[in-house]
Amino acid sequence: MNITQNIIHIAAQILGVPPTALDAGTTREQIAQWDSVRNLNLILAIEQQLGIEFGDQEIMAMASIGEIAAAAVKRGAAE
Amino acid sequence: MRRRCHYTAPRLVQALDAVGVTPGRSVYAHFDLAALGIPEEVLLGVDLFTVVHKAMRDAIGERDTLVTPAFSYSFVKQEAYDPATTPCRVGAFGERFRQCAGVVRSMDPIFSSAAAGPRAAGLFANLPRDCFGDGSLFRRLEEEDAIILLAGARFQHITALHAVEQEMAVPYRYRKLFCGEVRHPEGCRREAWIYNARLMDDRCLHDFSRLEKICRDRGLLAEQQVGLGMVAAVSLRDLFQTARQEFGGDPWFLARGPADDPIEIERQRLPPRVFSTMLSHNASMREIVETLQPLPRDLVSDGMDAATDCLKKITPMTVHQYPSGTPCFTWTVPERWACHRAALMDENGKEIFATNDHPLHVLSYSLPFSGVVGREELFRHLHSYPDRPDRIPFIFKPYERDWGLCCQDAVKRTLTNDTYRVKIDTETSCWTMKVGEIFLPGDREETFLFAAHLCHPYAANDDLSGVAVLIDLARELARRPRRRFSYRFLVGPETIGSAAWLSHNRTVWPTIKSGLFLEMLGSACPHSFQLSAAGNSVLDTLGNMMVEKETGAWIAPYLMVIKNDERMFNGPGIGIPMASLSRRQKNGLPFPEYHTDADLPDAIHWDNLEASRDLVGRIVDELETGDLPVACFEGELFCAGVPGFDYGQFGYPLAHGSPFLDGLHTVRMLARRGDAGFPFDTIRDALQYLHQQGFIRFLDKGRLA
Repeated sequence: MNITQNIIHIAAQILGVPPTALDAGTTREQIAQWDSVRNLNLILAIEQQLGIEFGDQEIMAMASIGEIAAAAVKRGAAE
Repeated sequence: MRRRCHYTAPRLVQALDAVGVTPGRSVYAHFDLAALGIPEEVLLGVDLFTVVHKAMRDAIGERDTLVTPAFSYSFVKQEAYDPATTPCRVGAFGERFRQCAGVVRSMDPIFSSAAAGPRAAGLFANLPRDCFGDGSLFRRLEEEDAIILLAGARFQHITALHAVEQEMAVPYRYRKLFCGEVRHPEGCRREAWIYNARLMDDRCLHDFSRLEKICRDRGLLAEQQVGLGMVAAVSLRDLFQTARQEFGGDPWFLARGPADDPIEIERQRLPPRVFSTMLSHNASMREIVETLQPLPRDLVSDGMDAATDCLKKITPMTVHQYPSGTPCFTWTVPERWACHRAALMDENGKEIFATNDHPLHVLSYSLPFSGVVGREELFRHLHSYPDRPDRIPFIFKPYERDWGLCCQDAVKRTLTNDTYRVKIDTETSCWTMKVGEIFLPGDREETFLFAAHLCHPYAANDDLSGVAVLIDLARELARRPRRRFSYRFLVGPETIGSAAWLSHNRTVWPTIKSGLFLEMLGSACPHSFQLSAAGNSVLDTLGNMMVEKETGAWIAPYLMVIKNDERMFNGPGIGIPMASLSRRQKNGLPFPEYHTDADLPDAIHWDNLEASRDLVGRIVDELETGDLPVACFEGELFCAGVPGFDYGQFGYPLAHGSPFLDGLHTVRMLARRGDAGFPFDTIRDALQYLHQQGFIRFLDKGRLA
């Protein structure tokens, strides 16, 4: 499982949507359930499961699955 | 690894306190929970909403009211609104908060809010159906000087400012009507709400940055850093007052700009369709009908503008313009509507019918729609006349938000597939509704008004026949060098046109003694004359007199023949008696082609149209040339005091006529009084005698003809 698929798997659980509803291009605006509370829970879950910590600016800027995956790789997560 | 947090709940409470969120005032709070970062309590397993909600409660106390946006935009999205179940579409806090125990949600189907606290129910009680208008939630919050709180949210998010925009009638927004269903505890109810919508142009996007700077510079905006973001607060009263002051110098103060004329903005977005329609100055009634019939004269439309412009060029007409959203009594001027194309196709895209075949195949004022629908769903939006299966209906729903197609019922019956493709390409825009008025002043201020509507696309008898008679009469009267009475002629969109003109011309109401509405005058049947609500106005009497001589004519009380613009004039608070002249069948449809594609010039009985024109001409002639007696006595005349007065012959007729010795009723009209009227000669002789004795004077002439 690559990093994008991994993040899709985590996001599907946190957001309560099927993984098939998500891909690298999926943005926050496209998923009604992806509100700020779930976004925070998603970030914390990714950090915990991948053993990384996002920077403050990254947290504010990440708005899609692809951006989260790219930031996670930048923070040392395996691709 | 232990993650680093950005703030703590106590710090949030401290910041709220520092910006002024303290017990004693209601708070309208906008949240962007992500903007503040991660609170320590979340890392300890507490839910983010719970952390922030508790901090809010700690700050304002249990005895004060917390209100948050819970906007659903339901009516804008053509959805029903159920305050209990419809999700909040503006953030996680509002969505969670609205579901908490003890929280109530307003019934606004577009900009609902959720509130908890002692004033919550009162703030939401009996809201006007106008999201940002007088008495709206935001105006109520201003009255009690609530605080606007921005917890991570930006100044740009202060929705309440739209209330000031509406109050100041900013040019880049207009009052737009939205309709839909709202679920109340007692059941679903169809409602219409006004939202002061912005024009669909980037220049009209809201931009509160200038107001933000002013508030900050004046120390009205208290701010505290919390985590990664800011918590800020401003008194709603101060905010509104500051905005109002700044609006004085710049109506575009809260918009991105640059400023431009709103109609010009809409003209650029949706250029008007140009028609080459022209009328010669002496166009006959037939030419008027035949020329204007092919125009798409929907309520507010390019076709209506073209038709009005044609009429303006052949008469001394003033065209009044009422912008979309203008309140007219309880009505609202609609937007301009245009249909580019509409079609019904089968699943494979094969066209079954389209507006190319006939423009009436689309519901007038249909919303745009594109998609595949089941037959049952299609039939909810597909209009036909089962009793006239070969005709395409003319259906209009300018005040409902719905999509729709129209077709022959014979075609509808062939639609047996499970699914169909619908493509409706329509647009609306902020525009001006046109109402044409021809005012012909006379020697006397007392005025008689004639009205006809112009807004039935592609139709001839309903409604151009009435327009043609009205225009022909107006032209003839305008040519007269002198008129005894004054006359007004109104041509515009049905009902809303009358509402707009009346609501903007209150000062002339007292001068209008009565009116006559004209329509369907090219039908085969004899005249039908409907009395005004009062039933005893000058034109009631005159119309009655002229029509009753006609074989087969139908004279009926108010609303027993037609229901149209006369309702506005006769309505409460206005009380201008307006009768109606038409030619409609007594039973069933007004005329066979009514509201169908068959209402064409070919179906007009031109001789009948001419006869109707002659009839209204005779009405006006009686007004202009009839003898107008005025009583020189008060109360009932003491006949024994009139030397030689034959009380036995004249007393009874005079008693019936004397209330109308007012200079508006001619001698012929006075002879109409009493149960069966009186011989004209009797009335004439009585009045002549009283005139000789000085009890009567005649206006204009001074003697009987």
